[in-house]
Amino acid sequence: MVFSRQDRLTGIGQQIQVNMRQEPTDELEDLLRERSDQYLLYPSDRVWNNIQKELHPNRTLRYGLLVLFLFLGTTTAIVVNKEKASYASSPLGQVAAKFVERDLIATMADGYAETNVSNTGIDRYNAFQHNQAQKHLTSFAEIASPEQKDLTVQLPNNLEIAALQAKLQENKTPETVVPKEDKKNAIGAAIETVIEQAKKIKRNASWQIYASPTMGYRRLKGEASGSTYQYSVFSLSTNAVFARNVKDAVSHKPGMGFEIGTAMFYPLSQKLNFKAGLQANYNHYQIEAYSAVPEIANYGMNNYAFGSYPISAVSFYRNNSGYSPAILRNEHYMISMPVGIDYEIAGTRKLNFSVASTLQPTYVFANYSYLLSTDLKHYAKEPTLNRRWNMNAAIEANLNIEKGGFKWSIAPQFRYQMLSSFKKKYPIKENLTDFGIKVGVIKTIK
Amino acid sequence: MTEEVLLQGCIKNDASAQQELYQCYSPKMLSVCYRYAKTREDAEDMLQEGFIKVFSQISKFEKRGSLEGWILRIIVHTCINHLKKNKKFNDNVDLAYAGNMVIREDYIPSIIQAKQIVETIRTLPIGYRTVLNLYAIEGYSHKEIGQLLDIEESTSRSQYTRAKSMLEEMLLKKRIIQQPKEKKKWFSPVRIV
Repeated sequence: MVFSRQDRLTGIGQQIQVNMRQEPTDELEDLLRERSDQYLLYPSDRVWNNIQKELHPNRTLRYGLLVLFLFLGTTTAIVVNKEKASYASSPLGQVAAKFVERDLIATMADGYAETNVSNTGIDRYNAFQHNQAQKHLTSFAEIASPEQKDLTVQLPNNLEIAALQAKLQENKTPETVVPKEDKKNAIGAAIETVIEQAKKIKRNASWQIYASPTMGYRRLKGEASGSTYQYSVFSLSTNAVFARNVKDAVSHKPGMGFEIGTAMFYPLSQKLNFKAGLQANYNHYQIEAYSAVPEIANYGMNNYAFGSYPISAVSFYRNNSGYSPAILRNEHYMISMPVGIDYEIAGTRKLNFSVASTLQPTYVFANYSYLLSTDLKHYAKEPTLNRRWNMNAAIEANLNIEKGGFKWSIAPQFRYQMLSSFKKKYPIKENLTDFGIKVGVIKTIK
Repeated sequence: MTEEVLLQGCIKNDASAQQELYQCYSPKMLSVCYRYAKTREDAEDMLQEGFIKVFSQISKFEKRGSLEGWILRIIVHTCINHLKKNKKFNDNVDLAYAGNMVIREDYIPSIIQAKQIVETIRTLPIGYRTVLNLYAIEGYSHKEIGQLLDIEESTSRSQYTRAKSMLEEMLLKKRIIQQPKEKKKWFSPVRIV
């Protein structure tokens, strides 16, 4: 596999460089070229493995999403179980358990008394009563605490009913055997008591999961650099086609993204909640550029203690001219921890309106961005300039509707990246923005 | 698999096509990287970075020239970019710092001529060998070398003259090439030692 001189000069894929070497070669150069082309080296497996990882990162992304959904699923399961246990041990749950227990005993006692009238129907009637009581227990078992279950889990059999009835007769009190006409009054009074108790209970923490389609965009700030290290045939001063201000030089448009997350609300007062959570964001926007031959794009200077060197990358895209238009997608995958407050402005328990504001320490775990060179002429990826840690701020206005034991919320929201997506050494600043409509469901934890 | 089929497979991000293309061109491209790199490990890093760019941008290849030439250009640019991140390179690419470099003969092995020549090139000071690689082997003009390395065109020209002279001296000392008896030609036909 030997490259001819013609191949080197014209076989560069796209177009002949006007300033490519045209001078004749001498014998030493021919020898060097020939021998260099003959010399082959075989790379280690590590190289290909790393290339594969870089080219097919979806696996990593899939694992990340899987972990996120596992986290959300586990959290959901914990909260729901806690909810059940909390209900069973709450005043309401205790009262409900007492009703079930007392009703069960009364039913069994009544059933036994009535069977004395007709001994022939005793087995059939007891079986019916047993089934009825079992239904009570089944429904109660779903909400009762372990202690309460212990009180009723052993349903007496037919023989034990006699002993139980005898015991009831000995200790006959209004607590254990309630006349049927008084039962309704007692239940009504108990319900009123529970409602009164519930009113006195403080507001509890609540848990939310939410998702939102978003529209991602960016805010750019910066000017073209006139430094000597720029790679261009023409200097900025002699090339009026290119704008100096980055906002005038680029053509970009928003792209669809998404947000998914979970948050806990801790009441600070009747209307104010502290909010903290975990969320994942995908942001992207599009840039209009042009495909071009590989060139070097410069991105400013990197400083060492005793000097500096230009930061540059191989570019395949030009900003203003090229052989075909191209759309570049700048994508960002982020994990953040929103911390903030939620304030209820107006409304009732069933329907209310609130506003929320959060600060979001953010880790950008994948950033596939094309950076504009400092002369505003080329686009290329230069991962060393991407900032990993950032800070976002978000505001949202929530309309909350309570239905079926859950509070549903819909909220237009705006998210703004406070620090530039790139490190300070890159002179162009970019702040990402997201606008979305967030839909969430909130469950109060008792 | 033909090059066209390979190309289409790579455009579709097909891993097997990518692997085949990689296996086809990586030995040649690694030797290119090796000429620019300080160590074999550095060369492999350059190769890795270069092929990632090749695969991610392969849909932009428009078949106006050979695929190999297109890949070569990306690899060379990647090597230069890699070198520019090295402070030592930036110090030595300037002519003022290159004059004091000494020839390190002990680095030249004597196995086969191709390897000897490549290894000899690698013993040149980093600024010299980069300009020599770009001009004599890759075929870049001094003007483009100046733009690539952020140096003056005249500096590139001077660097190359000195690099070639230094390389010639080293090759002669190691008898990889022979001194021409007559001064009409620059050197005599190559003899494998």
